Amino acid sequence: MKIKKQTWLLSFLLIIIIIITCHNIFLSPSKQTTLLISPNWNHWFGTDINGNDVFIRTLGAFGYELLNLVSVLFLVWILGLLLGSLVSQIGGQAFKAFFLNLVHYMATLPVLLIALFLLILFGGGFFNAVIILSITIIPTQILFVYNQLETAQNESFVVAKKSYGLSNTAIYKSHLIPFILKKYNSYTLSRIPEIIMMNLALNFLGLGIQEPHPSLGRMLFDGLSFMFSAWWLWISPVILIFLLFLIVISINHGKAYD
Amino acid sequence: MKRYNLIYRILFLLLTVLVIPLLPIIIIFLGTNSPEYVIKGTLNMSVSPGVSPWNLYLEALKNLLTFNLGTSISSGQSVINEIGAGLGQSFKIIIPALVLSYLLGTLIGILRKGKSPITGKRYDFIFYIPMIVFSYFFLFLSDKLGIDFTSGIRYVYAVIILSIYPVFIVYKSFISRYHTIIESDFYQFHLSTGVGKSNIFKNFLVKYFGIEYLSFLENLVIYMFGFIYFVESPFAINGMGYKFVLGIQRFDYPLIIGFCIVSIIFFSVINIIIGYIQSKIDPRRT
Repeated sequence: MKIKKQTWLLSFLLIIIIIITCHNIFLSPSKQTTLLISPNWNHWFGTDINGNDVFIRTLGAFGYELLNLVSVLFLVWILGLLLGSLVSQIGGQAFKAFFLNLVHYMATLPVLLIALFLLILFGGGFFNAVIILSITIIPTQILFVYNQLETAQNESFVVAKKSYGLSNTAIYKSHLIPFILKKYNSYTLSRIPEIIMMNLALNFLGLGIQEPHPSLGRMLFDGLSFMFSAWWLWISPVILIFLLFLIVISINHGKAYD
Repeated sequence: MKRYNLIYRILFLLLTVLVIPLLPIIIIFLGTNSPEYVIKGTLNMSVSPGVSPWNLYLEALKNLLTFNLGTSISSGQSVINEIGAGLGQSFKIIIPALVLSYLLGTLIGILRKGKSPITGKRYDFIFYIPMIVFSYFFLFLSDKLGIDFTSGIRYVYAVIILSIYPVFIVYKSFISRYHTIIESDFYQFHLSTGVGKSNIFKNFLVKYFGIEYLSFLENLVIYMFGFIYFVESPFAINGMGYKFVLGIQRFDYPLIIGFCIVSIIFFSVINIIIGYIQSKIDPRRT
């Protein structure tokens, strides 16, 4: 993978932010000071309505955002691969047609609204948000794996392995899945902006991470009431979101040359 | 779309309509604390003690089929009326945003048609930035520049912000389709017979762009619907997104659940209609 110079620079910046975040979350106790202080040397991004340092809260929120992203990515990667392979490997044509149409149907539904619907019914929170986000994203992952496997089955090396008498499972495990893995990884990574957007939306509506834990979406929502009088409440989450997307797209941009 | 695929879609729509009324039973089955209170608060159904699951299901199904989604807690109006009013306001933004996305995306595509469809540009990331970021900047800058953002201009802002990412999608799709066409044997053959480029496009290929654009129309509408509160909340446009945010703040769950149910059914129907149109105009799907 050819990653451009600025991606390395941004990734370095990301690591610094993670280290500061970990330091602030695990080592520094949250200090409460005067409410709504504008940015100064002691509080780089001022303080919020509860007297918490906005910069520290923003970094904490960034940490949670990354944790959510990694958890969802891991779940959708592994379950998408597993279920996609299963659909491709087992069942007759009728079963496949039914299942694929079902997945197609699910993929065309408004996933964010479904996620909100489920979160309202089952309650918000970090864990529920991760599970429900994963559930709403998995159908398209399954579809991708299935399509890739079906295309790969016509490759000459697969036909050759079949003629050697290798079992279907062995071909899937040792040849087909490794063959599609690179594309699948790229596809999964390309969904990072979507996951971040959805998580941001859930937190903005107050259905994701719950107080007292900080989240970028909720900080933006809280900042809306103080749009003009206390602009520092929303400016730091906005900068961090901007930076996050710059890193993600920069990595994807580098990946495109791969 | 082949005929059996269309049948599948209709079947799944019917299944969705039959599955949604299972929600009150699921709430009870999951062992939620005070399920009667949760069902009353979310689905606006009174559950009498000892009622059978079948009767509960039938009542929920009847409510769904008659669009009796209850009463909004915050406004006291029926949920379906609230959704109708909200959607009316939201469509004032969504429809112009869709038109702008297709027009601007195509225009950029035509201007940049020589570029590779695979590799992006450094500034591509701007299109991916969540629209909430743009909403905040527009709002803040308007205030600094002395523009009255409570006037009709807020609709213009909302349309522009809502169409940023869709413009990128349309542009990318245009470039990708254009390169597929000019590399095709069909195009090369007609070119070699002396037919001009513009004539080939005018007579044979404009339709393919239409088919391509139609294939992601539903996704764009879903995207705009899903994130509309990112533009309606900052600009205080009383559409469905704004009502949605207020509904969550005021625990107006009948309104939220009602909107989600209506949206799911609405998009299922749209999906079937688009699939049907595609099957009629796209020769590859017959």
